[in-house]
Amino acid sequence: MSQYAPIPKARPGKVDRVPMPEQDPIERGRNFLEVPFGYSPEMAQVEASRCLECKDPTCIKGCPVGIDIRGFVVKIREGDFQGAVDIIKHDNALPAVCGRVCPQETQCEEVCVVGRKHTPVAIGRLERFAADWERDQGVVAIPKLAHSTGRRVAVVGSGPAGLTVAGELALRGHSVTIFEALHKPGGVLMYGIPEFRLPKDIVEAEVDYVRKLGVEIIYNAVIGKMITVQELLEEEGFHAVFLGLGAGLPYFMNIPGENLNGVYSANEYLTRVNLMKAYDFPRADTPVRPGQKVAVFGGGNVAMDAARTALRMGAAEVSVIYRRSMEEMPARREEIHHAEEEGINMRLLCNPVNILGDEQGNVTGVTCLRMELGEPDASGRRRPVPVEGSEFVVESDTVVVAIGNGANPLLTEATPELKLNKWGNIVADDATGRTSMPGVYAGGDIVIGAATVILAMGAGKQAALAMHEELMAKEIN
Amino acid sequence: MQFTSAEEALNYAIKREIEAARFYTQLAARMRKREMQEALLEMAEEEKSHRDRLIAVRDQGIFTAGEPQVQDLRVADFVVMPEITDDLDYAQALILAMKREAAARELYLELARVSRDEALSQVFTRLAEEEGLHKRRFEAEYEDRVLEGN
Repeated sequence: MSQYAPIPKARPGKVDRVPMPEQDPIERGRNFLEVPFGYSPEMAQVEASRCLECKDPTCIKGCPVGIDIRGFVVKIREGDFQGAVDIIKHDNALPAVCGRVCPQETQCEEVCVVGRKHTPVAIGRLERFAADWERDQGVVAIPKLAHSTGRRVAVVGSGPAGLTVAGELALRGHSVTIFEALHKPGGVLMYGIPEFRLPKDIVEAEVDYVRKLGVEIIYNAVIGKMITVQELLEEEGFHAVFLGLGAGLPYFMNIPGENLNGVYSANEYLTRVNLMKAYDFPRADTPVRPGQKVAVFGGGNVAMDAARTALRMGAAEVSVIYRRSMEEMPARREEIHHAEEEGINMRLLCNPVNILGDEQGNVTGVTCLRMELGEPDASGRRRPVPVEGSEFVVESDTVVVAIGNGANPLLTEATPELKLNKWGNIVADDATGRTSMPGVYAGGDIVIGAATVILAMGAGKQAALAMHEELMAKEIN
Repeated sequence: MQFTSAEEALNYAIKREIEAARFYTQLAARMRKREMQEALLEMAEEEKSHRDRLIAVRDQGIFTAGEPQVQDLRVADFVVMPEITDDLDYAQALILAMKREAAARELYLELARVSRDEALSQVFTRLAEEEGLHKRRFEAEYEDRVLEGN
């Protein structure tokens, strides 16, 4: 129990949102330490006091995993931080991760009633605070597990969807084994999102929580190559399989010059730096080109991550090249703001059409066209169109293509029983994650295409409930 | 290429749509992945619907506007034509399709330009517009998915 005394509810609009302290932009542009420091207990209580504690809280409906947001915010205001953590963990096994990377501004905070007239309650920051507080106590509470059901479940992939399914099923008494292709757990949380946005010890700690629920994780296990899904079910004694493979195949723009030296996909670039610690080369085995003039294609969170990573790797100039305007940028406003503060150059309404190289095959620049947004089409979307004669060159020695990811076909090619859509994503039932293969479920980016951590977790949670039902109805030997 | 009447021009365009449908059908048969076989057969069906529209135009003698003229996204101008293998993915199939439609559009624009007969020139212009619409449909699908983050 925390020693913090409850504080009263604030009168609506009388207390401004509590800002979260963060590193100085110039200083942080040269280190990989986390940018925001998080709330102190006092700050968290003041922010929590802004909650109206609605009788019918709309914020919960905005959360893909249905956390009792009102409940945990009240607990924080009351100074019962462990109570807050317990409420969050009832629905979310990865609160420290979600508190950092969820787009709350388009989910729970978007529908917060306070937000109708004032700035909404900082739900994400409070979630982060509660999770960090518990970790700082050094003892993470493990909920009581249901009695063993005798059912065994294989989960492929230890990203947000896989970890959620594993945690939910372990709580219900099933024996869960995760098969992870890499040598570390967490999927995109580990290889994709950089340390300065999501410290890896936090990912490790949340994975450790799932492990403490009894989940076994087997690393370096590429399902589809080493063993098939069919074999997991028929020979390895698993009663069900969940596929949470993520979207691991980067899209390229298919423009000339993408094979030049110094052109990376964001996946490769971020994996080299985050997972393989290229920032510590040669002590770490993996190098990465420490570009001086880096061009990043794309306007999503991954593009911001790549650009800010390039800056921290020592680049003198980093440009984000994006075909549309700031309004259409899919990255979180907070990430764009941080990137701009750090000096990333946003080249908006610019389309890279050709990557230029020298005789040795190294990147020297990017030919771009200026774009303008056309009239809305039938879908209501204003598509970018090139401005005639607007060609110009952005000098660059490194290019990172961060425009999106598709489905990695390694597993699906070895599993012909799975129905795929034309983009190679697994076709699964929206509500249950059930696939065309009996006993096999899927969720997260491998089904819906590259999306967010919390949507993958939401899909994992739904699939876990459906799997539990099916497993319990199944006769086992 | 010499054309003396609108009917001749339309017969030529119809023949091209039939060839396109055959191209996608044959390509589908080569594909290793089932979902790509299905996707290419869908493209073949689209070409057949283009053929049917042109047959109706020829037989009724009226070339009505299909949709209001749209801006050229020019995605096809900057992407590299993929090598055709039995392992095409859908993004590559879209590039292939938009490039084919772009080439057809260019051809009709050129025929419109060199045609001395005003009526015939207008038919070619309308055919170019049709191909422009088909191109845009593939470009928009490519843009919505592959270029979503850009």
